Amino acid sequence: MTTQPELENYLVRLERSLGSIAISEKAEIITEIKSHVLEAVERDSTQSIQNVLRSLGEPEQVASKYLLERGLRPQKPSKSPIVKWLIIGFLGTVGMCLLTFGVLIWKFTPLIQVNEEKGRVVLLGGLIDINEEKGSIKVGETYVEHNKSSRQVRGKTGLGKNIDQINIKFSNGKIKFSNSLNEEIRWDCRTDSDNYNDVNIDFEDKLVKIDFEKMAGIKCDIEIPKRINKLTANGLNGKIDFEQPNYDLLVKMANGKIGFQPDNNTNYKYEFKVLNGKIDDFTSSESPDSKLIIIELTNGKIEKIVRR
Amino acid sequence: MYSLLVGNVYNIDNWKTQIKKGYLELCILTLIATRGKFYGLEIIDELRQLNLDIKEGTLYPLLNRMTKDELLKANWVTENTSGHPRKFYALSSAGKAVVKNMDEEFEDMNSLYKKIKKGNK
Repeated sequence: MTTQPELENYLVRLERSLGSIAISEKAEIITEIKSHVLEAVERDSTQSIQNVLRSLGEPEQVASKYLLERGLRPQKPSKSPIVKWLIIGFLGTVGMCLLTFGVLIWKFTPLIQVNEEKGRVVLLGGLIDINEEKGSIKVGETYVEHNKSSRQVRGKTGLGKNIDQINIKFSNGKIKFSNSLNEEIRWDCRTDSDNYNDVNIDFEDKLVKIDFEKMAGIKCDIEIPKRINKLTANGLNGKIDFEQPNYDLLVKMANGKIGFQPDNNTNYKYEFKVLNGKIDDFTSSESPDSKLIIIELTNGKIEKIVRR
Repeated sequence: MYSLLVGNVYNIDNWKTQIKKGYLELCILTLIATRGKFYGLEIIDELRQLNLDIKEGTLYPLLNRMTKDELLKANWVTENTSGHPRKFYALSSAGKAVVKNMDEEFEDMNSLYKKIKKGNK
């Protein structure tokens, strides 16, 4: 006797949903349901197999009644292929993220290593290496270490009477800020970058912006006039030193080392934030004439430079 | 505590399902006892003629469980060579005793209910 595919399909689904019922009993149940359907169709020729199956109910529901009658827990309905693939996709993505995160942790561990004696700071598992002894800074595979072939970029700009704030941006490098004896900002940089002419200077109301961002791996000495009230410096990676600043300071840097040499005649109020790393001991003053020194560093060290 | 309230409306269908469960079992066993043997589709037909609607998907699992509990005994019979086999159910001796007990219990409940109803009039 040939069986309709609909009936076969129904019986297969029923058998799958009968869960932990013994195989011989499953066979008995399947045979009885099949017998019922064929008998119903045979008795009433206007009845189709589809109608009889519909009247029986979904095979999963029928199976759950068999299981419930025996005090067994019905099986959870199987997930649709779309839901299955969504779950597989989601778990796959989570797995990939965890793997990537694990590799990054492994690659960049330890986040920071500080050698006090040699003045060396190694960040992100060696990705950034600031070596005071050698006077070198390494970012990735690039060294900020200049030789005769490095280009010298010198510049200066006078300040109008209104200007009392300076904003400096750079990407990677080593910058030393010292005090100027006159009214000009001066910079003396060396770079291996081809964009050595790309120092961008922009004047606003009370502010002058000097942008070294396009020059990768600069080493600069920058002189700041004493009458400046506030200096802002933003950089990605490297080393910045401030020599006896007589102005408010706001520094934001991702990775590196920031050296601060206080002026003995100036009071400073320090607000330092270092996510991963070290901060030397600084004594903050509550005096109203204190200069506000805000330094935010993600990974690295804020070092106190003592005048010898 | 279990409630048959759905929203603010009392759900009579839920109550029917609850009370029918034991009642249906008794009716099936009693029906089989009257004629000696029945197969599934016959039971459905007989009960439907008496206006007791039972779904196929409910009857077969119930018969299966009562067979497993040894209240019923089942036999496969092929009545003609071209036809398919039918599974006939008959009461076992344990089943007969259980039906007797169930019947007494049900009659007691029924007469108690009638007494309560009478007293309330």
